[in-house]
Amino acid sequence: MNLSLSPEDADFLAEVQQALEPFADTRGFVVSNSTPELKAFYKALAARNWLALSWPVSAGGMGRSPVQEFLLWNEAHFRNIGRAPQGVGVVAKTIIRHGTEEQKAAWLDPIRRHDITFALAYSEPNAGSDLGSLQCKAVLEGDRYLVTGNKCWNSKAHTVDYLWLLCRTGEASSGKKGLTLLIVDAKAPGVVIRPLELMCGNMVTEIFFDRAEVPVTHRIGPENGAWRLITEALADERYVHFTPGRVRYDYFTLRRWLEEHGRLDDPSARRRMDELAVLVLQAEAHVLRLLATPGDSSGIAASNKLAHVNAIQQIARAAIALGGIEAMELDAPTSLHWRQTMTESIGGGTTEIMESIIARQRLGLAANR
Amino acid sequence: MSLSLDRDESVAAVAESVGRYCGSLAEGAGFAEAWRGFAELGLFSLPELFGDNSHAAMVAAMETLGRNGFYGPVADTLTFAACAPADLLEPVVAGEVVACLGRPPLVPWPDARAIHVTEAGGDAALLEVEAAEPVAMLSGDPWARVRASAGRALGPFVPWADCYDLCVSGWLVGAGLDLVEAASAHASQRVQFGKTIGEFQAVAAPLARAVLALDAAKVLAEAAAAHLDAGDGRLVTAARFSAARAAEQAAITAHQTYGAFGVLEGGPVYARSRRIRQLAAQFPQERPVDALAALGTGSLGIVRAQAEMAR
Ligand SMILES: Cc1cc2nc3c(=O)[nH]c(=O)nc-3n(C[C@H](O)[C@H](O)[C@H](O)COP(=O)(O)OP(=O)(O)OC[C@H]3O[C@@H](n4cnc5c(N)ncnc54)[C@H](O)[C@@H]3O)c2cc1C
Repeated sequence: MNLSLSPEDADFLAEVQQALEPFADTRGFVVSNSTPELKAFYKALAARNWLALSWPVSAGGMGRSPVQEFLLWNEAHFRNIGRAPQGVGVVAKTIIRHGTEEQKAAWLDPIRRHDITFALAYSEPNAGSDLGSLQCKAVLEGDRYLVTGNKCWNSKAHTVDYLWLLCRTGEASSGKKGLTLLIVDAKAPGVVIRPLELMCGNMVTEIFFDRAEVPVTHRIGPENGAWRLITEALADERYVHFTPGRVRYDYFTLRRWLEEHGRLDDPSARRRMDELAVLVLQAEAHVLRLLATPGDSSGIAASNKLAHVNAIQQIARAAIALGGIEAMELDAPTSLHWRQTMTESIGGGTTEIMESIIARQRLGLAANR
Repeated sequence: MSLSLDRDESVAAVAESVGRYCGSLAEGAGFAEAWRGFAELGLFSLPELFGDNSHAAMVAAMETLGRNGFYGPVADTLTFAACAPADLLEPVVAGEVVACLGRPPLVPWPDARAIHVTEAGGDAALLEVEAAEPVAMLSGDPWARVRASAGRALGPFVPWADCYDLCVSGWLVGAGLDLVEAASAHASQRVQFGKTIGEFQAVAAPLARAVLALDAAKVLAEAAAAHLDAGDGRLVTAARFSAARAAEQAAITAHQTYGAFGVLEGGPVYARSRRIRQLAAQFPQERPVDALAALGTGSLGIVRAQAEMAR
């Protein structure tokens, strides 16, 4: 077992820590959606080409390891800055793996410079966990697709330039085998995006497509072949989005809050905080499993998400229980975390779906479906 | 008489008329209008009308309010109506003012016409509020950070805390049951992977666990009220603890069962889950459960106490 960072990784971490310091408390997880501060942070990363840290050099990236990419985002989460933009992960990595040379030339540079932004448009009113049953339809007419249907729950879609749309090009009954990925201009005629407020104040959206035109050159990967692309990308992203840095940040925020309010001296509060510290370490353990396991890791990615969400929810619930009435102020970190962490067991795949993936992949059980 | 968990007829009638009134409240009816309506219905006269049976009646009314999603400071106001001296009751019983329990600096319902009660040195006492600054709270109710001092003493605080705990238990049980039943209805309609999601054990089991805890909490709240009406308050803190945990678990389960829809600001769960969460910390907070007093030393707890009282 080797649990120390290589000299290069340790140097990189030091560089990251210095670079991120000015952006501490940008609060990208809660309250803000796309604030100017968050944009300035992404731009600063772009100036170092860190948004393309793990992309291959041939794609304009820096060719660094997943470990370094993890270190970067873990640090950003630990400092309460924010998550990676969707474009640089799911979108760019899929284009790098499956796009044509023309597509790489067209999209990758503006993404890594943070000149254009993306939202994921997968879920629909009747297709959430069961994404394979989605019905939003794209019909090829000449050199363009005409898209008709609805999407919902799309994070920040009302603020982005493009939608990364998963839609049906096969028969209605084609399930996972009839799905295609398109890049859709969010401001194109026939696209209407309406914001919806979540209980934590963050915004998601509902999107209505009415014969919206999408050039065929905006299709990424083969027609009807999107399923493999998106599952590969989702698992790939979990060490970037669900880091122990966030868990640790929540833990220390609570600890500080209790200390400031004179509640940490209470032995039962202290005991609870000691127990929660173990959950922080467990979340870190799972991300280490993920980083140490190359190849198909969707089972471990699910474990990582589950451990992460479990820890932040337990911390948030303890915050409310230990903090007394002062912890209930709507925008106190304690109540904000409680409201925000409640959404984390749904977004990015629900807890129940993660559990069934673990049961299937880790234990060989035919859980749930 | 054989054991029965049925409510007395008069208590059942209270629940029914509160339920009917909630059902008749127009969508978007203002708080003041609803409050006056409750007063006209006799809600705040329950302690007077029911005398020896009033805690049972209050729990039943509160459970119905919880089921119908109405809060407001009803638990506080009922507690006031049950415990305050007669000379202070008239405007409260008539629904002209609300009464609130609070411990400065943060207190609910900072309306100038509200009567605030606090606890000072083991006694209930009127709270003289001098200055208030509004604060947005998780529960969504109006609160304020106030400068205030304790005024006229209103007698020992324990009966106030007991009454409040029971009222809140009733509300929590009703709110929790409504959330779990609504979430279960959603789970029997919502189809994913070609099945209703309620057919997945991962969805069904937490709902079952939530309702299991709520069903017990309901019995405990009603039993604790019956015992308190008979002069024995030993089950009160256990009733509140049980209702609070059960309702919280129900809220979390409901959020999860509804998926993204369940975490919307205006969605089917948040309005109730945010109150359920805050009630655990709000003054008067949960008191520790005295395990031995609650359990007793014999072979039964809830039933034992009844037998003892009959003696
Ligand atoms: C904060 C947030 C951000 C989001 N961002 C995006 C985004 O950017 N883009 C996007 O496309 N979508 C996004 N989503 C949507 C998200 O992916 C879906 O909400 C999620 O997949 C669940 O779908 P649903 O809400 O329709 O719930 P449902 O699928 O209806 O699930 C309801 C309940 O049933 C359970 N369930 C369903 N099937 C099973 C099963 N087989 N076994 C056991 N339990 C099951 C679920 O776990 C859940 O508890 C976001 C959601 C949230 C809350």
